[in-house]
Amino acid sequence: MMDEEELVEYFRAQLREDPDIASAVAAIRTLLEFLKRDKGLNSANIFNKPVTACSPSLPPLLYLSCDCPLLLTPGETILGLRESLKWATACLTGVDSSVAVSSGGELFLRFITLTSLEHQDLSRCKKMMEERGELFLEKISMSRSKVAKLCHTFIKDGAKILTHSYSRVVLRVLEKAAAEKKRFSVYVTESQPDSAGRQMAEALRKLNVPVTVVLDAAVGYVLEKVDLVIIGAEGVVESGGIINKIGTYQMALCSKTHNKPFYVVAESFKFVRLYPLNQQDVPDKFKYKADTLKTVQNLSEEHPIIDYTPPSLITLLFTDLGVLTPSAVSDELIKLYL
Amino acid sequence: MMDEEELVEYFRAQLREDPDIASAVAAIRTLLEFLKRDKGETILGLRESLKWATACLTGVDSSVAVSSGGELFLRFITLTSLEHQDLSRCKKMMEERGELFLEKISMSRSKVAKLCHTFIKDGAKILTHSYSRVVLRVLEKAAAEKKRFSVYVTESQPDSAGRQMAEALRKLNVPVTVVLDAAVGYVLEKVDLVIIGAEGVVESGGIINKIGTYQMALCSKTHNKPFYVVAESFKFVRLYPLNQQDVPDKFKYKADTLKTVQNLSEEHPIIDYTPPSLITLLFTDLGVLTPSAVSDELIKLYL
Repeated sequence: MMDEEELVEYFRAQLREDPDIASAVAAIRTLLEFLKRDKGLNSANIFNKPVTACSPSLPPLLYLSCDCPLLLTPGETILGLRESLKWATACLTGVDSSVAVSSGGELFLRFITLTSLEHQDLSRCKKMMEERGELFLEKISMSRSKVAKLCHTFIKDGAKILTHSYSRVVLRVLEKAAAEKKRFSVYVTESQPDSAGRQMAEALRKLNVPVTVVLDAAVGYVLEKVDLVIIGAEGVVESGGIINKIGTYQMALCSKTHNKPFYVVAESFKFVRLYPLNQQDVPDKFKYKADTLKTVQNLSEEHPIIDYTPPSLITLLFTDLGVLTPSAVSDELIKLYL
Repeated sequence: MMDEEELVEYFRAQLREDPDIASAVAAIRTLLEFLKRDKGETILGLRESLKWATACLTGVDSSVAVSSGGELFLRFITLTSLEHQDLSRCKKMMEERGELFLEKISMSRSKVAKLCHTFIKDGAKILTHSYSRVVLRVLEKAAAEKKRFSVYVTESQPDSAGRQMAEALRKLNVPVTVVLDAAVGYVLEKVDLVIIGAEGVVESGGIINKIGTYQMALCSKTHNKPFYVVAESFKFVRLYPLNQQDVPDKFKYKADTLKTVQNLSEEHPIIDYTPPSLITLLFTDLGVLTPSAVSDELIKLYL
C-alpha cells in the first residue's frame, strides 16, 4: 500500500536511475509497483485507527451503499482498484505535468483491465492485472526502438535536419541513422526558457554528428538550408496534431511555407484523448510545469511551455504502431482506447 | 581634418549624449562634422574621404542604416550645382545642404508616428519584435491620443532587447507582456496586428530586421494578421536579396564579431530578411507605401 509520498519518491527514483527513459515509462513502472503493493487496508486497521475518508495522502475509500455502514477498502474491489490507480496517476501528474504521464497512466489502466476479470477470487484477478501490466511495460519499453527503425530510412545521405529542443526519441532516431553510416548534419533550436537544445547538441556531438545550435528566432532564417524537420512530441491528440515544446507550432508553419517535410516521432502511449481547436483549448494543467501550477496564482503572467500544432502542418507521424498520416491517428487512437 | 580615432570618438559621443536618436542620424552628424573640418582640395577627393569616413563608421556599428544613411547623405549634398570656381564656396554649399538633410531626417520619426498611429484601433492587441525606437514613438503617439491597447513584445534573444522595450512601454502605462521568441505562433491568434521597425528597407520592398522577424511575418501571413513596418526613409538601401543567404555578411553580424571572429558560420546572425510578399504596409516619412511602391520611392531618393 503506497501513500502519496512513497509514490512520488518511487517515481523520482525511477527517473534518477535511468534518465534516458520516457517519464511516462517511469510513471507506468510506478503504477505497476503501486498495483503490486496494493493490499487495501484490512478491517482491523479500519476500526482501530481513525481514518478520514478524504485523507489526501491515502487513496479514497469506497463505501458500500447498503444498510450496514461497512467500509470496503480499495484493495477489495476492482472498482476501488481502478479509483486508486486513477488517484495515483493524478499524484504523478502533480510531479510531472507533461501530457505523456497523464495519457500513459490512462492507457495502462485500460490495458490491464481490458481482460476477462470473471474470477471469483480477487487476488487472482489482481495477479492477472499485474501480468498484463508487466506485458504492457515490456511492449512500451521497445517502442522507441521500433520508431527509430521506421524513421531512420527517411534520413538520406547528406541530409540537413532541423530539430527542436531536447527529445530522446529524435536522439534515438539520429543514433540509428548514424549507426547506419549515414552522413547528415543537424540544426537544433536553443529552445528557451530552459535551453534544452544545448543538451541535445551535446548528446549529438558525442555521436560525432555535426551540429549547430540556432536561436529560436532563427528558425525562419535557417529553414532554407535544411532538407527535413524531425521533432518529438509530448502528446499526440485525436485530430492528429501534436502537443510539444513551445516553438514547435511556428516551426511547423514555417516548414509548410518552405515545403519542407515535417516529421513527428512519438511512441503510442503518448496518444491522448484531447481535441484542441486552437492554442487556448489545451488545458492549463499541461501548459505549465507542475511546480508553477501549484505555486503561481495568476497564470497569465507565466510563459507556457508547450503549444499545439494542428495536423494540417504535419507530414507524417512515426509511431510504434507504424508510419501514420495525421488523419490515420484518430483511427489508431480509437483502437488503442477501445 | 578628422582621423579615424576622432571620427569614431565623435560618433560614440553622439550616441552617448542622445540614446534616443537613430544610429544613422548620429552617423550623419558625424559625417557633417567631418565635412566641416575637412581641408581637402578637390571635390572628388572630398567624396572619397566621405566614403572612407562612412566605412569607418560601419566598422563601429554594422547596421544597415548607418551604411545607407551615409550613402544618402553623400548623394544629397552633392546633388547640387557645384559649378563655382572657388572650392570653399562649393564646400559651404555642401555644408548647408548637409544641415538641411539632417534637419529633414530628424523630423522623420514624428512623421512616421503621425501616419501610423491611426491604424491602431481602440482595444487593439499589438505584437512587436525586439526594441525599436520608431515603434516606441508610434505607440507613444497612440497612447497620447488616449487609445487603449495592449502590447506583446518578443524577448528577442540573444540580447533580450525586448525587455528594454517592455520597460519603456510600462513607463507609458501600456499593458505589456514579454513573450518568448518561440511563443510567437502561440500568441498570434490573440493579437490584432503586428507592428515592427526595420533596420533597412531593400529595393524589393522587403526589410532587414532583427532575427526572428521573418518567422513572425510568415506566421502573421498564415493567420491573416496585418504586418506593418515603420521605417524612416534614410533606411532605404540599394540591395536586392533573394533569400537569407544573399544579405551581405557585413550586416549580419555585429561589428566586433566581424573584426574578431574567423569562422562566421559558428556565429548567430543578428538579422534576417523578410520578403515583400509578407508585408502589408510600410509607414515611412515619404508616406504610407505598399511594398511594390518602395522601389519607386527608392529610385527617386537615389537618383
